Amino acid sequence: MLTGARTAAREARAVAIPTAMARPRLDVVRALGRVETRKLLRHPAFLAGLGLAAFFLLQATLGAFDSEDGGGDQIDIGAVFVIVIGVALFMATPMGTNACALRTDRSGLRELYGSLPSVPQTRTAALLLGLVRGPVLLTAAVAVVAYPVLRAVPEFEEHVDLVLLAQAPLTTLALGAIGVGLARWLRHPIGGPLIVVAHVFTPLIWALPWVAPASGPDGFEMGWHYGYLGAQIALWVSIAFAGDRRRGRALIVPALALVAVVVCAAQQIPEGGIA
Amino acid sequence: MSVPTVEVVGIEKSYLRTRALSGISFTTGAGITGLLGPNGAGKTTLLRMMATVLAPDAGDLHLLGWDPREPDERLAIRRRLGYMPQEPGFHKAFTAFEFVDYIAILKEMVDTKARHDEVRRVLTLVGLEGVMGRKIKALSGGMRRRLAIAQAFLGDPDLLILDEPTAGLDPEQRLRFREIVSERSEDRTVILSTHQTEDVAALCPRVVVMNEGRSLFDGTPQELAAVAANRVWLAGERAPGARLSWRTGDGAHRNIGDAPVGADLVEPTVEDGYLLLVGQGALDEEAA
Repeated sequence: MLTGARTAAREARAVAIPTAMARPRLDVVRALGRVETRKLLRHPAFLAGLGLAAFFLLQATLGAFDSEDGGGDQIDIGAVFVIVIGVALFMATPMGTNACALRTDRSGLRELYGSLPSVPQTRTAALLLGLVRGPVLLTAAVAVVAYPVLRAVPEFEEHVDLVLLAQAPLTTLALGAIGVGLARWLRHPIGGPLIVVAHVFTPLIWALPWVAPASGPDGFEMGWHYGYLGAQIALWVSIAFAGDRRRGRALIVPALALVAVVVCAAQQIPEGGIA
Repeated sequence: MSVPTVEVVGIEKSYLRTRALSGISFTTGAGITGLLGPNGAGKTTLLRMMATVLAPDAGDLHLLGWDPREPDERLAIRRRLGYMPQEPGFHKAFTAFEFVDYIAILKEMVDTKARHDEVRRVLTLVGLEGVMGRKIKALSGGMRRRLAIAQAFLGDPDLLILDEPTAGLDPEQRLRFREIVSERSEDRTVILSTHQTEDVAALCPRVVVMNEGRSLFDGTPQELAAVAANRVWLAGERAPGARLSWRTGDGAHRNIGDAPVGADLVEPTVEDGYLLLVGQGALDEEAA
């Protein structure tokens, strides 16, 4: 097995594409970012993720309201709508970014791209820019609309504040960055769905970014939680770029970011643990 | 020959235990140089090195006066290079225009209007102006091939590397390709690999025949045809001494090899010379 791994490494070295320069050009990233925004927002994986998440969330939410109140007339449709759209964006974004980040490998374009003056990091940076210009801005817009809508619902009023809603675009950014980072190391389309399944069906709130309430019995330490989100973004963005360079030195930043994630995750737990 | 733009000196390359190039050398300048050779001859490996996507194990390579081993010089080469790989990939969900536009951005063309004009120009050049807005997955194989050629022409590069550009093109498209390439080759260097000896005869003032990672021949197509001078003859049946023989459309057998006395010798073609060379190479290899 060791011999096989060594042979594979030698073979990979023999066919490795030499890179031209270390840093991507900003004007190229901006131009490519415009294309990536369009492609990401129209990508079938993103749209399907959005549609499916919205469908299941609506089913679950409406079902819960029906069973509790015995009728749908108690539901604040506006509140349900913004929550569903926001959560669907969280789910769809890593699916979309993962699929877009895998595009080059799946299309067999590494050789052609290797002959061009722009380094691979240019495409990664453009994809991340597309993520910010697309899903992250969309989430921010949803959060802006959600603020007055949710504050108008008595049950939500005390929980919903700017500190809570400002986490939404950061969470989308972190989840989207996970999609890109994962694609740079796991070159298989299973990555995107894996993130969503891990997020929804496992108790991975400490490993994956999420919106956490600042007040109430389960209130989190917000300073640490924002630090946690920031560290998650730094971790996955640096993992994505490290995947382009594939050198030991490129793993220093991800390692530091991982330490920050762990520290922030540990510090934000409220006294007495999570209820 | 004009000022050399491509200098290949003793290039060697191995993939684990398989030797792809065994010290190949040649120099070329402006104009079209054709690389001919059977599958596995090392043409694609050599072209990938010229496209700066593969590093040689040994030997020297200079492209447009720069050394691709140096990162800064590699970048300078890539800025003046057009490359069409043997198996070009495509983002099939992109339209033809979007795909070439994407490559143009990666070629550092950041001004939107100028870039879009350039994309339209190259797509028109290869006759794809009518399908610019069509998704690549809906294009035929020949159209995709032309799309790959179009992206290589972006920015009018000084060095054009084309790996089997005419494979899959119909005769009319091949003629159009010859026209486009020959127009651009006067002050630029074009290196193309092909299995089509007619393309070499029609396009290339210079041809390098490769086999087993080595150069077997380096000269003009006329000189390549002359390799088979007095060694091609027609007969009613396959001649026993012929190295190669096939029945032509008019029923006669075209034989290549050592012609018997009194044979009906005919004018050799580039293909005859090529077949004789490659066949001889294989025989030498066997004898060794």
